[in-house]
Amino acid sequence: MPFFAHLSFISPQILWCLFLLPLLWLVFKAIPPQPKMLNLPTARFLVGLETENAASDKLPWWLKLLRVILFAAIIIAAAAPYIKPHEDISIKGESLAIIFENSWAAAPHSDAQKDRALSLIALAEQQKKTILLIKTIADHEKQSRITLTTPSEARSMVEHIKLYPWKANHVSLLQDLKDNTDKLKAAKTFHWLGHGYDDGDLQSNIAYINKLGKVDYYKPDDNDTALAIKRALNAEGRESHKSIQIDGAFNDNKKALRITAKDQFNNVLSFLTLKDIKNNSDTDISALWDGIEMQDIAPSYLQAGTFKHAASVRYISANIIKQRVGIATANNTINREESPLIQSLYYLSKAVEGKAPYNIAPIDNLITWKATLIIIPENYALSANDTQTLTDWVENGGTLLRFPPDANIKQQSKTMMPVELLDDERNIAGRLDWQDPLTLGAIPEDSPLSGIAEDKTLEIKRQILATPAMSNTAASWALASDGTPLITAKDLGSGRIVLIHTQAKPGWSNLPLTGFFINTLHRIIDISTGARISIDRNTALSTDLENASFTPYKVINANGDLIAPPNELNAQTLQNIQSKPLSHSLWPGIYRSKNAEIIVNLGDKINAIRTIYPQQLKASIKPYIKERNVNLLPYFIALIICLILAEWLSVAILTGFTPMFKKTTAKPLSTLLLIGLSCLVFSSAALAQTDEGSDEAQRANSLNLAYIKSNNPIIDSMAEKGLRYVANALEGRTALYDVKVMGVSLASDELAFYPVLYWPFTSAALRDEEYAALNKYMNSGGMLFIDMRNGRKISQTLYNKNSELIKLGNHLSVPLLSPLPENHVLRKSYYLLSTENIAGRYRTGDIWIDLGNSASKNTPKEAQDSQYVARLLIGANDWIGLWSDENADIYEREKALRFAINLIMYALTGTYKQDQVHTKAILERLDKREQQLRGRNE
Amino acid sequence: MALSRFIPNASKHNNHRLSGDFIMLGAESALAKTPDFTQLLSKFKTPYFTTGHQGQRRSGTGADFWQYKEYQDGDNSQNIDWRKSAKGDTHYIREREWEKSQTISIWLSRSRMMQFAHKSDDYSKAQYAAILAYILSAKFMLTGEHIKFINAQIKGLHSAAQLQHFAHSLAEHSRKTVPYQKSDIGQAKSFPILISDFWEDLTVVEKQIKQLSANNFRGLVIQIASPAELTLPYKGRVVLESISQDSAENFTISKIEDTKTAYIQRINAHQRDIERLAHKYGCQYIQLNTARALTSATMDVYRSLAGLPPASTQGATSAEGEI
Repeated sequence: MPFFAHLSFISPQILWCLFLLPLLWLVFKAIPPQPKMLNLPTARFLVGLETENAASDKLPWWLKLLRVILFAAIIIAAAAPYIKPHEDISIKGESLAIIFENSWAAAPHSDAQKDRALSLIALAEQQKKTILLIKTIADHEKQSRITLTTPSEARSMVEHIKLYPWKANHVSLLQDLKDNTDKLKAAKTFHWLGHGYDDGDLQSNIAYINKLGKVDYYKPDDNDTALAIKRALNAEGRESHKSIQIDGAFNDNKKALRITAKDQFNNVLSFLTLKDIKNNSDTDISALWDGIEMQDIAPSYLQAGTFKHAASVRYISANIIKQRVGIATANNTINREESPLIQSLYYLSKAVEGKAPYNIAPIDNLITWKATLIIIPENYALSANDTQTLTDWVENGGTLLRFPPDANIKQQSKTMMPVELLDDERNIAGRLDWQDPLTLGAIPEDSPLSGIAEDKTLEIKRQILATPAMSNTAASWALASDGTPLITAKDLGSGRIVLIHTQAKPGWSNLPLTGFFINTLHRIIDISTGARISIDRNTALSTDLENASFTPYKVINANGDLIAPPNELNAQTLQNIQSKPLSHSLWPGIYRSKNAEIIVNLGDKINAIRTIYPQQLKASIKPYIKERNVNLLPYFIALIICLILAEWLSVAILTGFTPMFKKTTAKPLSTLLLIGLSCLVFSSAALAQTDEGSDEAQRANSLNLAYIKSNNPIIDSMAEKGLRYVANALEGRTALYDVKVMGVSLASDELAFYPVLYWPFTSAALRDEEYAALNKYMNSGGMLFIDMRNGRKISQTLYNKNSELIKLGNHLSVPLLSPLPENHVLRKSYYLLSTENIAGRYRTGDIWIDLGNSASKNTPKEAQDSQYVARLLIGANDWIGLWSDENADIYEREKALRFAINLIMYALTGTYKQDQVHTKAILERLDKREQQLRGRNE
Repeated sequence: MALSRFIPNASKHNNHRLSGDFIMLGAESALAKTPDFTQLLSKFKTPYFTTGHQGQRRSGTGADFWQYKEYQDGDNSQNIDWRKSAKGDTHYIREREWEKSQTISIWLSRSRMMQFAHKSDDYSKAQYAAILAYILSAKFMLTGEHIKFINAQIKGLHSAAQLQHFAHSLAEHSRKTVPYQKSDIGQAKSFPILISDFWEDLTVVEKQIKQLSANNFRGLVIQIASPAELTLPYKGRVVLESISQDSAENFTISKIEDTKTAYIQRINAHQRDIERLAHKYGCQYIQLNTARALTSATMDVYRSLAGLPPASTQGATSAEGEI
């Protein structure tokens, strides 16, 4: 009886109630049957003839049996019966092979993995087989991944298996497998206990094992797969702690996710629930940080989701939190009549913005606000009281940044300077001067500013000079080109005073407009906490830093906890830390040098998470929970309902169908049960109805990024994936929502729903009706974007009479095309793009665009005035190749993505951004970006 | 085995079946197979009931000579008996005896109880009573009597041409249940026929008979019962509704079969009481049950009217009910 062998109950204790059923029989005996209603005219002659022996057992036996069965069914149903899945694997071959993926992504379901492994081992023990245990990450670099052992040893090995917070090296795993082919041959079935992601080259490993035997790949449920929290770029293209990316296998990408900030004791400090997040799209978590900054607390790490593991946590440098910049102000120092662009306050706040929280307030308030750096602008006059407060504050560790005071307050502001200053400032490059303006000179090696890129554009026209005999305690952090100090500093107590010898507004120099100014301020902010510089991708590196040796301070284990580093972990150079993949010799964690600190988070080291698609693998995919238990409860409830109806019907028959409302005495037993049960059933029934509109209505309701399907499945899947990436970014960064990706076939699909049609070009051999559909699409307002995907210049292609492009032109009604003008609206429809930014996988190709019908309008000047929106764009840079490539360089991919966003925005808004209204904002952005670029490139 | 088996009165005894055609059809065989009521006079020496015109012993519009009378102003000259007048000077008018038919006044109980029928019955009591009333009316009409109904709404019957109309009217009113009305008062100098089940209290029954027979000191009291009422063919636990004067009250009997003997005794006693009451007011008592064939029932009436002893009761099958 295989059925009863697998029958189980969730609460078998209830089954003891079955022994009460014979009692029920007695109860039925005691309860008289339901009386019949008798409508006898002569009833009055019966009055007084009642007999006393009421206990008349007149229930038919089958009704009693029915009731007993009914109660038995209720009792069994209450015990919640289910059928356990059938499980027997007979092991072929001499040993059973278990491949245990113990890389980072296994963390959320390692218990399931272990359970599966242990049950397999138990099976092997029963059948007296040996175990071939293969761990994808060995416990030591020198150790072999493969062990052939007895089941009992294997059991203790599995019980003590360790997960490591990095990806497995599939190349060396494959090599190991190949080297141990002899051992592997003993096994015929390989159980690959996977974690649902491809660590590198899963396919070739599985393909290799496939040659030796059958592979069962165990894949966790999507709910159990690990999520990773990654760095992301903020709107200005810089890495920011206020912006993250979430990667991993989501359930239909719509899952709400909670981002929690916790301190080192795992207490929640603040949290943020993200809805509708997409894979890989940048997510702004400023709201989380607002909460933290308000509470004046320092989180240790961020955690995505509820399960803490190496990739779901992101450790944060303590500096980021401690740094607070105060800009001193008195009521009279903010000049509201003057344009903000010539006030230093504007430049200072802009330079500080994004790096650390800042506050513009009187000095007393700033000190209570716990500012670590206080900037005294040139127009702030220090009172005696201020001097006293500030001295105390600096001696306790504060950093004071000063600028040359204006002439009218020079006398009051002489105190609190690192050096003694000359009374008059020095005017260089005045109208009557022959001298060129000063530029930036050397930055001394021991200066904290060392490593900041020199900026050749810096021009200093006015400067304040120190007295030639500088005190010993003061030091020059940077010099001007003629050797005079540009930035000087002096330690005072445990704090310091820094002076920049020129003012932070355009009158004295162009210093506030340069990237040097921003980098300098950021460095001063960094050191204002007195701690190490924390290094990220934005940090300007000095040779000093590059050569420094970073020793591991704490490492992150697979559970996402900070632990003491293992002994074999050596000190690393910055270069190694930033570029080498994680392994036994480079754990994620906190590395420190003498004056700097770098935090290696696992999420940043995982380039892109590749989810496993079952059809890719030559293995049978199995879930960890083998087969789901068959719940018998619904069947029992159905049975109970049937029995109740049968009981009700038979009682009705026996008593002669008296209408319900006339009954005054008793009701059938079943009526109450039926009411109770139907309440239960209806309350639990999900009444949700999915009312899906028609397919076309759906397409019209959402924005669809469409590509033309080719017959090449590789191109199609690339286009699908790439456009999905673009769609996610559009939803994440722009106001667009519900962006869908569609593959269209020209012959059968209606094209009118798609604002822009992407054609990853494969061949010009289309049928006539397909060309007709394309022509109709272009002529009725669509925008066709052809990506030749060969990286060649369009003009060069045209010389070849046999080129596909010429063939295309023969069929397609191609409007007059010209190269994309420098000031075309496509370059500014969302991001500001220069020519180099229009690069895809190739940088060499160009874009030709349709600028309008009239031949006279092909000059850029007139094109600018035109309200015409292109219907055809032809490019060759293979953007799709970059959009779909998860392993691409993050910056290159970002560029391609920005082009895609601009393209969609251009298709949707037309020439809107061409309007002069936007010019001011665009100019400001351009200015700022140039500064940043300069800051980063050098 | 249809569902109707479990539903008494479901279709067979449905009151709506009671139509004029239903009555005429049911009465057909009884009308054909029973003797003419006119023979009541000739065949038997001491009939309880005489049929045909009866002289009223005063001048009138009858066929028989009554007396001669001197012509006076105002008399119709056409009525002068010229043969007699020729013998003298006076003009004589020939007067005839005033003849008048008997009136049969029928009362049909239309109480709710009359609608009862056991599942084995062919007719409900009301249906049976209506058909019986029709048969008797038709029989008496043929002997030249006037038929009147004490129930105010039912029209009487005077000639054969009215038969169909009469049947419809009878059916229509028998369908309705109307409680006994105090205004139903019997007609003097008529022959009352009272048809009911008479299951009411004896005092009520006496009042009815007294009022409806209207001191004629003759008439028929026909009690119609369902066989089920007489034999109590039920088993098991039942709930019954006892209807007293103005309140109804439910009571349960756990084993009705045990009460059978006592019940039948009570029923028989009641019937004897009714017979006694009928005789008290000079009426004949006939007891019928709905299982008795209508022909036999008509014959019972006939024998009773002719003063013959009642035939042995046949056809009262005791239908046994089952649970």
